[in-house]
Amino acid sequence: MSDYAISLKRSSLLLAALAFTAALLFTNVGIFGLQKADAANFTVRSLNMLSPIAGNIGSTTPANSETNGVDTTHTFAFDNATAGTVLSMRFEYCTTAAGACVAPTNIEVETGTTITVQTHEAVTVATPFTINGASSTANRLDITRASGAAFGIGTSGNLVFAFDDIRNTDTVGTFFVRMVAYSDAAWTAAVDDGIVTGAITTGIAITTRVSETLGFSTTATVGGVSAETAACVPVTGSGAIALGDANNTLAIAQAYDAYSAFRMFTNAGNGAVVQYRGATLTKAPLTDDINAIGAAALASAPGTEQFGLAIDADGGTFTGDTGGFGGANQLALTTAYNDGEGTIVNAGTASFAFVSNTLTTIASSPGSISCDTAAVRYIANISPLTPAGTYTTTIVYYGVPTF
Amino acid sequence: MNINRPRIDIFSKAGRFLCVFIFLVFILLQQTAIVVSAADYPRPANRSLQLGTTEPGATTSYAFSWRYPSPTNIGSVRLEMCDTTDIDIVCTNPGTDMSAAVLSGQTGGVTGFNILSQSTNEIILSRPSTGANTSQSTYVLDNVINPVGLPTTILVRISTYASSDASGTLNHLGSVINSTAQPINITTEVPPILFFCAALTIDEWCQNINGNFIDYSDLSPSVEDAGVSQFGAATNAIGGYVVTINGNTLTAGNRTISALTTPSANTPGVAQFGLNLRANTSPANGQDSFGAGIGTVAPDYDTPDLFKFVNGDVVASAVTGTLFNTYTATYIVNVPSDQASGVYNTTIAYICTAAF
Repeated sequence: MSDYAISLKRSSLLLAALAFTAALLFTNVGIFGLQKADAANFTVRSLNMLSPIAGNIGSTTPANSETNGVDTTHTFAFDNATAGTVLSMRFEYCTTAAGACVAPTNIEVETGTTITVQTHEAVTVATPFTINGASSTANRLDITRASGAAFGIGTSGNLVFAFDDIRNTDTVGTFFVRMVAYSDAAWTAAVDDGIVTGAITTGIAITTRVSETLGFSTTATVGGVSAETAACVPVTGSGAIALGDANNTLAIAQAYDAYSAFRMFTNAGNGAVVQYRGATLTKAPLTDDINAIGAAALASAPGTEQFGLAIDADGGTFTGDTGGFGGANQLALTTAYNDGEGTIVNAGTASFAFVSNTLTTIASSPGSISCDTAAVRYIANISPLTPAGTYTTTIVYYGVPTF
Repeated sequence: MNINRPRIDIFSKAGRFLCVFIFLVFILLQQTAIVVSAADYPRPANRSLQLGTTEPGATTSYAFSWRYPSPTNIGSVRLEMCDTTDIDIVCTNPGTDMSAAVLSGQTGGVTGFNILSQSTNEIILSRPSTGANTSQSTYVLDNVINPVGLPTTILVRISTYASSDASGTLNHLGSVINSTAQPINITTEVPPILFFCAALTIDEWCQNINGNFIDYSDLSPSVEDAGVSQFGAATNAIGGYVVTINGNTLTAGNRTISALTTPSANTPGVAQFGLNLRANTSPANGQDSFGAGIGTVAPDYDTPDLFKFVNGDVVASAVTGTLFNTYTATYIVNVPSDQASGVYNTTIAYICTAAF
């Protein structure tokens, strides 16, 4: 064998030795530069951020909601690669996956943060972890426990940890969380590790305005009340009512009624009222009038002077949509005016009230009204003493929203 | 190599274009900068507008009420008739006229305003600029004219300022809204009402009437003869009613029994025909009038035991509308011993006349 041949063999051996050493070195250094000896990688790992909004955008929405990046929830799910006891874990937020960890700008994972979920195989960890405030920092969340049962290798996503009230970083883009599980309680003996990543966005800010709205209309025309649609078109027609028999004449022995209607919608947040004001039926130019029933509701009493009104939930003569009171986004009827349906014979089932020349509320809503229509029933009775003549009145209705 | 850019002569075509371009960009930026929205200002809270009436075209009052959202200085308030709440859209007045409005009332936490200026479309309320508080404040403007349309939405934009002349930056911005509405006009007739009936017996309100024939049988000079009938009346006539008695005394052919032309006592053996409307003792017949009404008996027929009969006499009346009264008439007939024989009869008619 020549010297050249010997030299070549030595070089080959040296090269082989160097390759072997390098292989050993790479195997032991690990992929993240973490100081661990035999750590394996978490598998099937993920980070779910309830809100991806950057922390500096601020929020008026509730904490830990989808559009609040100031107080949000980060949920980590992963499979442990190594069966055994885990007594501490570290979640370190960095701008890069490897190398020296640089904290994302203004992230805050320690102050105010709480563990809201910690499960293994969908079962809450019997001996729970707690956040160690002394060890944790603005970008590092260290949790620990004194003891605990060993984690077996389970199905996909068998370990879940959720942390509330985390402030996202201000920096839009990707960040990384380096996760390490330790078999001891002091973040020393690494067992498994892994990295998950998240992306911060600005969210899509949409601004618009909704103006104050009110639709209020009245009619006494039977055909003027249409169906209640989303547009809540006004009721239409004349406000003239001829009350009485075919000749518009009242009688002692019989009560007569007639109807008008009103329709209202509004987006008033502080509610709305429907009011009326007007005199009782009056004979001009004299001062004779038909007695108003008053504030307390009464049944019809033919032969006695009465003028009153009430809302008829059955709609009376109207064929369009009426009624539907007391529910969400609907009017609620004032007690004295809520029983207009029924009979108007002597001591009939319907009852009426009327306060003359006084602004009086007959329906109201604590909030907005989508579209509500009411049929107002008027009743008139006369006594033998009611002077003959033509009696008239004008009832004015008001829809008053408070924004 | 010359690395300097060639200078642009401002009077050259390119220079002029550059100047115009820069000017347009400046204008555009300025316009962009002044576009603000209602969302940029705090809104007065709990705000509402109450109209004195919602009748179209009516002259009425407008009561504005709100709470200032913060205790900032308030020196003026602009109330502007609009059809939109967008501050960047020019207001179109739906038809309200505030040109003659007067500030008739101001109550609550922030007061001391006077009208600084006014027009059809807007009013500016002014006061020395001082801090507001956040309790409810109400301002009432009288003599405002409603729009004439039906239904017309009345939207009033409210702007508050620290300055006393509605200049400068707004403090608050909001709107209130109301609407005209079709007034409901009710017309009816109350008919003339008269209840009247006459019979031997009647019920109240003439529900039942029975009999119309009195038979005295054979008259005797020594025996008093009496009979009774009833009538009743009610009316809504504001002039009331009168009831008259109509007919002749008892006759048999050309023979008569003399009627009592003055109230007289019952005297058997003397030719007498008369009546009254009271409860009598001689004869023991009759009944005083009764009922809820205000009807009264005429004086000549209102004395017990005195009787009279004169054709056309008023026997009962009411001075105004009245409920039902029932009257009982007692008729006496007496004859002397030489009264000619025959069948004497008469028909008495009661006539009620109401004055509506």
